[in-house]
Amino acid sequence: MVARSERQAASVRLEMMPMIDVTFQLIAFFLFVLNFSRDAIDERIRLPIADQARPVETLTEEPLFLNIDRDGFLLAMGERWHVQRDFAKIEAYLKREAAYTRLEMAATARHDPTSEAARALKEGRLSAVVVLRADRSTPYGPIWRLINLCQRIGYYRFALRAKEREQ
Amino acid sequence: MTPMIDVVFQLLIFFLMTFKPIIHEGQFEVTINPPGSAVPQEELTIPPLLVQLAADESGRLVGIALGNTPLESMAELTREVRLIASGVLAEELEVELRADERLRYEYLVAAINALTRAGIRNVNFGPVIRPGQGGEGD
Repeated sequence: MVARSERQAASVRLEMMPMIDVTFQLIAFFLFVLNFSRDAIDERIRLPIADQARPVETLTEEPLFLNIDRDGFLLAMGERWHVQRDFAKIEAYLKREAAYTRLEMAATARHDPTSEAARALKEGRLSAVVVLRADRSTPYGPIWRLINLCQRIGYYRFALRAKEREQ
Repeated sequence: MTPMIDVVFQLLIFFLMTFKPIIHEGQFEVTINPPGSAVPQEELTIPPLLVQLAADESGRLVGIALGNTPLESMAELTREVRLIASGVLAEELEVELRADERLRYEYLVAAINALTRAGIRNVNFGPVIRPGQGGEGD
């Protein structure tokens, strides 16, 4: 009796290959859908709904993300800056970002002297897009001050983010 | 085999835990020229349309005006602007948006949405309206 059950146990083999196949396919799926650019997107912000908003296109230059929460604070560098009280900090941050943008534009202009970046560089403007992600309840005042500041620094292309529908 | 399966499962668990569904975001592209570089009003073939948005203390939209004409809703704004734009090229028509600084961002986006629906591609932001002011800002 004992010898028979031992024989049965020995004959049962777990098929590992299909499980490994499925597991690898799952990993491959998650690797494909993983979006590394989401770091700049703050999940706490509830974007307004707008059905006419155009799909986001891939940009040649790294955009500048400005996440603004419902109280009108700018969320950047892991901090929460009040647009009026911390204006100097925000200005320094934006100027630093503008310096990086200029370096990137200079590299693009070297490769393609007829590019938008080359033209903007000559005119002293910044061709990178400022992506504004503000909460639907944010008052317009702080948003307008930030747009104004970006404009003074040299940014002129803005993208106002919205959700196409409620999810 | 067992160490490989261990690692593979750990990877799978990591991706499962960090996975977030893709948020479908759209955007409105706005070009705002630096102060001083704007085309003088007299050189423009079509003068820009002025849209003003008024708000109450809580930031709710309490009034929409196209030029000096008060409007009832965003749908009416679309209708009126579409009517004006039908006589000219909608792409050439510029709209200047002035809003109360207390106005919630969702209403501003709703106004841009209404203008986009009317075929307007050229939206500019005018100075903010301070509470108690009738359209002038800093």
